[in-house]
Amino acid sequence: MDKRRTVTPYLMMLPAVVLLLVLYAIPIVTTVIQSFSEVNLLTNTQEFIGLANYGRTFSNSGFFDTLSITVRYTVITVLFKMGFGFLYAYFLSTDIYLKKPLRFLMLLPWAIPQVAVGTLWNWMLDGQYGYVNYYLMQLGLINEPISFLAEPVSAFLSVAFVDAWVGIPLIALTLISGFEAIPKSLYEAAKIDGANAFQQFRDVTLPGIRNVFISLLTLVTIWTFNSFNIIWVLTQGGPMRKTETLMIRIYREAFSNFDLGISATLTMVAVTILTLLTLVYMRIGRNRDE
Amino acid sequence: MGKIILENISKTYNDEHYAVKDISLTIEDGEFIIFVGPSGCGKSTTLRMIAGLESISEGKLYIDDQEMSKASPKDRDLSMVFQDFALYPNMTVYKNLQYPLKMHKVDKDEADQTIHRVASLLGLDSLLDRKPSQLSGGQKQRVALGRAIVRQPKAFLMDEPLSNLDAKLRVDMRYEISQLHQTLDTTVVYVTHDQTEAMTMGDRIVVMNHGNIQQVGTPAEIYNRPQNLFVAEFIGTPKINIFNKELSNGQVDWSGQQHILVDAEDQEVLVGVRPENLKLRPGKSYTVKMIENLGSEQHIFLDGEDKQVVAQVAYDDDIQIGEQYELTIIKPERVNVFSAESQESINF
Repeated sequence: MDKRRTVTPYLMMLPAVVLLLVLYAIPIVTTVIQSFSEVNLLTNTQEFIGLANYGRTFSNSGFFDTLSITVRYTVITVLFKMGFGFLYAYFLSTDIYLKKPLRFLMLLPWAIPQVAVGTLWNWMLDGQYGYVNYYLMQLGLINEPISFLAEPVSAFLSVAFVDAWVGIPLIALTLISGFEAIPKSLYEAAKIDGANAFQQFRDVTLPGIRNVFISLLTLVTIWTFNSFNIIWVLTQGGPMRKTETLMIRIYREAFSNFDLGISATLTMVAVTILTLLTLVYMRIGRNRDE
Repeated sequence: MGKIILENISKTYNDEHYAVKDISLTIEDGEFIIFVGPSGCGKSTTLRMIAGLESISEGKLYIDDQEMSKASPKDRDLSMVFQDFALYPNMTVYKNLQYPLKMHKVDKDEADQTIHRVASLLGLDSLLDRKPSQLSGGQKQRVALGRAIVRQPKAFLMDEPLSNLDAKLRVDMRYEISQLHQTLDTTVVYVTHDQTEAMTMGDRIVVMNHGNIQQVGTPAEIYNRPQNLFVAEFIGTPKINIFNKELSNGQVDWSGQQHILVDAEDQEVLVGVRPENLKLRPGKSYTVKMIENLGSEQHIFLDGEDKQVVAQVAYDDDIQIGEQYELTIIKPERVNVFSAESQESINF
């Protein structure tokens, strides 16, 4: 009887544990090992080379360019996403007409597969036939078409914009539930205490969604840092590697240059950055709770 | 000062159905007035219209003789205690108490003094640094009261403030709120569905039903002289017993031996007798079905030919289930007689 009690829970956990091992633990361990090895894909052999991959990575100036692009891309896109997501959620949680259809519409970009979104915007932003250029010219805002995805700055901003466009619905949806979880009586108490609309927002709304916001910010930062599909479909990291984030570079090192060692090293760098970032966010969340 | 006048006030959301219909009432300065009634009777809506949290569809509201029907909640100089306390969760007790003062731009030192005075009045001194999540239900309630008091408003509005507390705490807080009212002498408008709160706390009670005022009066008036059947049945535990009788020649015959005198035309009437006004004597009409012993008294539930009756007897009366009795009225002058047709009182 006792034995069964001790064994049964572990047996029931076994499938989940196996899945976790296969899907997470093994790839992670393999990546860590590969980052210290030279991997030959042709002969399928790998040789331990110590910190040589890390040395090569950090002495390559291109790596720091990539890092800088990744950070800028993440900051700008996350700002876009959180900013517009917040505004969207705020208006959709107030008493407005057509609230339900607007909420449904809001979810559409998120429901479309990312590759399809990338392809769609690729056409929209096309330098010759794109809708965006057509309407901008019709409106007289530009005289000649802009090659949005061919110029470094416009390509960077375009990719960031499309990534944000896809990401906003989930953020808005999550924040709407955050807004709606704030008891109405708090707003009423604040009104009676003499708070105006801004003060109610500052003293009731913001503190009320703070925890949801920070968790969401952590996740969105990680997702954006890890963005791949949209960038790959739109620019593949170009022009002149100006939209090449760490994820694109990891992919390119592995599957264009077949340098799995460097690719693994870059992955370790990305994991380290994201871990540190998560710790910072968790710290912020905890400090304010105390 | 805190005199509140409601003049023909109505609330409707669609011009067809009225949540509150044409109510008029004067709440005197320093009075503790209680709105009581079943769910959906319009009592909370009335309170919220006084607070400015709901717009007034028709009629006028005066606070200290100034018309405030359309004024914002901030300008009405009232404070409110909510059912769920509505404490700002991110702020400490001190900051919760400070908030209304801050919003009214009260000098910081003066505010600090007031907060400490109110905190000591309510026994909150040791809790000032705590967040609401670290407080018990009773402590939260006190903070909510403190936040209402701190600004010294013209009146306190309380929307079922005790319904989130457990039974024992509710009794304690009932006492504390009454004490506080005596100390501060500020107008209190209190909404509850609990008739015990209404009877024990208020100077006057406003009984509401279906958006209308049924009766306004002191607890004793409401209990002893209900103006209609609804009030009679709503107030009092156990519920008043209602008997169908005939009024003829100015009197209602009660089991052949007693008569209730009523100065009204002959008609069918409903006779209301409170359980404590009934006495059991040996007989055959009613059979004891259940006994609730409350320690201080007993509630005897009896089945008659066509109705169930409840009588309240002394704790030491020896009554057993299955025994049979007749009912006698102890004080016929305290019996309420209502017209069967209009259900309005005809003897008070």
